Amino acid sequence: MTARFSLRHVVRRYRESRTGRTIEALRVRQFDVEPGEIVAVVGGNGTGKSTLLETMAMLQRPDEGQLLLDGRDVWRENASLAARRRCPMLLQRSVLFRTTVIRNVMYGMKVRGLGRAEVRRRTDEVVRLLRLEELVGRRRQELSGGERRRVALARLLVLKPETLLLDEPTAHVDRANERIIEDAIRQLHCDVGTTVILASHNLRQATTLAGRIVTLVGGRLLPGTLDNLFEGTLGSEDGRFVFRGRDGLVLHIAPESFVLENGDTSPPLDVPVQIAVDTGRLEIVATSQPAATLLRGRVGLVRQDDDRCRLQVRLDTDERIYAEIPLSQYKQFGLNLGSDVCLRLADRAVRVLEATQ
Amino acid sequence: MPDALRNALHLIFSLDEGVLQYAGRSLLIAMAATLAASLIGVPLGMILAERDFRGKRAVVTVLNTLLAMPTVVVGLLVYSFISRTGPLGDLRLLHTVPGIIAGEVFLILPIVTAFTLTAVSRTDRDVRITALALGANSRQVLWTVFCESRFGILAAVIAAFGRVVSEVGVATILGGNVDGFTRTMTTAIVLDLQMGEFALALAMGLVLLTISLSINVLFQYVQGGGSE
Repeated sequence: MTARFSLRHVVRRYRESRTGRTIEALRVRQFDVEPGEIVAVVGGNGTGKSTLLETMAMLQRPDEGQLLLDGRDVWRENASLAARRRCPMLLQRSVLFRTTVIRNVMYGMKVRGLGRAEVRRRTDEVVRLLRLEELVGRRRQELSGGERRRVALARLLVLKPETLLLDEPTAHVDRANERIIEDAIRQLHCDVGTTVILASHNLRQATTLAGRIVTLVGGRLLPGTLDNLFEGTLGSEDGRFVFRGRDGLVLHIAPESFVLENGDTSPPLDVPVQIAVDTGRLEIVATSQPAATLLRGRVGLVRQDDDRCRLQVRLDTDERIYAEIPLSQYKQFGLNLGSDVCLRLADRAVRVLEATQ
Repeated sequence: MPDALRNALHLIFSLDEGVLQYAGRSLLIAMAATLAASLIGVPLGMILAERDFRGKRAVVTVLNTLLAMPTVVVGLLVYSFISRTGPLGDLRLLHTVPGIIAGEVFLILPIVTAFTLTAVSRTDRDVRITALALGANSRQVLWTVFCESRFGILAAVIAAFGRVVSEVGVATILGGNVDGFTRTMTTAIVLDLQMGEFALALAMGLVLLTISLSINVLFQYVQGGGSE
């Protein structure tokens, strides 16, 4: 099956107007999104989430690389209007136009030249879905932040798009509005099978809405949630790699635990680096096992999502590390809050993000 | 003075032919010039605001300088073009209403353009990107930006109208103040004062003041509509 979206070696740079320096905001080697998938892109502020989504929505042209939509290079075909209209986007800074709510909702359909009856039918539908009945005649200055966000989302959902790009759909929105928005996204996904790419710094939202989560760190896209980011130096001792974190964390890493890219045969040694330990590639092992490569600590927090458990482990060195394990494993080891726990780095658990110097 | 005021009011309320004629001509010239200047200046201001090009800052600086150009200088410049010996002399526009309108268009074109540029530039950049993200093409984006800036643009048009209706330099130089043909309220005031027709000048002044007041009220209303 052809991926709905494929990014290949996409690089986006900005020129800082104040200093004139060129800053690389995004570097994505490969990112595929299948039709009907919901993918959440998580990451902190300024990691490139908006740049990624705006690039996918064809609002920004990548400086290098290809953006493929259903296998076709959109920029080779000048990012045609038709391609752009297939991927409407809710911007983090979306504004409502200076008119009534109802006219705002109709905007996308009008620019597409839909018939009056169709416009009315779809508008009625989305107004009900996002509970905007009381707001239709109001203007933007008469709406709260949460209501504005709902209207902004209604403008997109009414288009019944095959792909939807949502940048922080519930930013600055209260819990009640957040629930309405999330339900509406789920509903659209169920009804139309819309492919959704969602940028969020809300991990709860990402895990409950999305089928897959990727993380952006410094413009680099990495699989999974990356809570385990550490800065330090990598060295080599007795045939093993040793990571010494700035905050005292020491990790003994077997060569097979590294994810190496771009033809690298070994991670960069003796230079400051940032490493990410994949939460899903930390395994629980019996505490009796003696080995320098194991991480020992106590279970700090536990959160259960369906058949998986997310643990926060407070290591003996006082660092916190997160692990996602099957619920069955959690039960098998009889873990509980405060239990002693021993973790092992599985194959390909550690990714060296970048040399920080 | 009370007599002159009484006579002036009498001239106004008795719908004196002269007052009506001069007021009507002034309004006609102002409306025609404002319409023409808006048709050119609004798109020009929008293009200047929307497009980035080499020398844009210089163009904006020249435009802002033209805002303060004295009316008599504009009159002289246009005169040099439409006088009999000028390049457009064959059109015989001198001392005609179209001649005055042409001069007024040159006078207010920088106002409409510069104010439109400001209004459109102030419109949030996010409006453009939101329209694009919702699937608008470049023409629809431009229309959306126009709609979002409409209060500012309308204020530009009203300001230009106010400038023309109360202007005397261009109307005198290009119109020649010919009674029955090119005499406007402002040129009539100057002439009537020189001839000692104080009541008629005052009546004209009162009508002008009323028009200016109405424009200002409209201006305030429009600007109020633009604020949130």
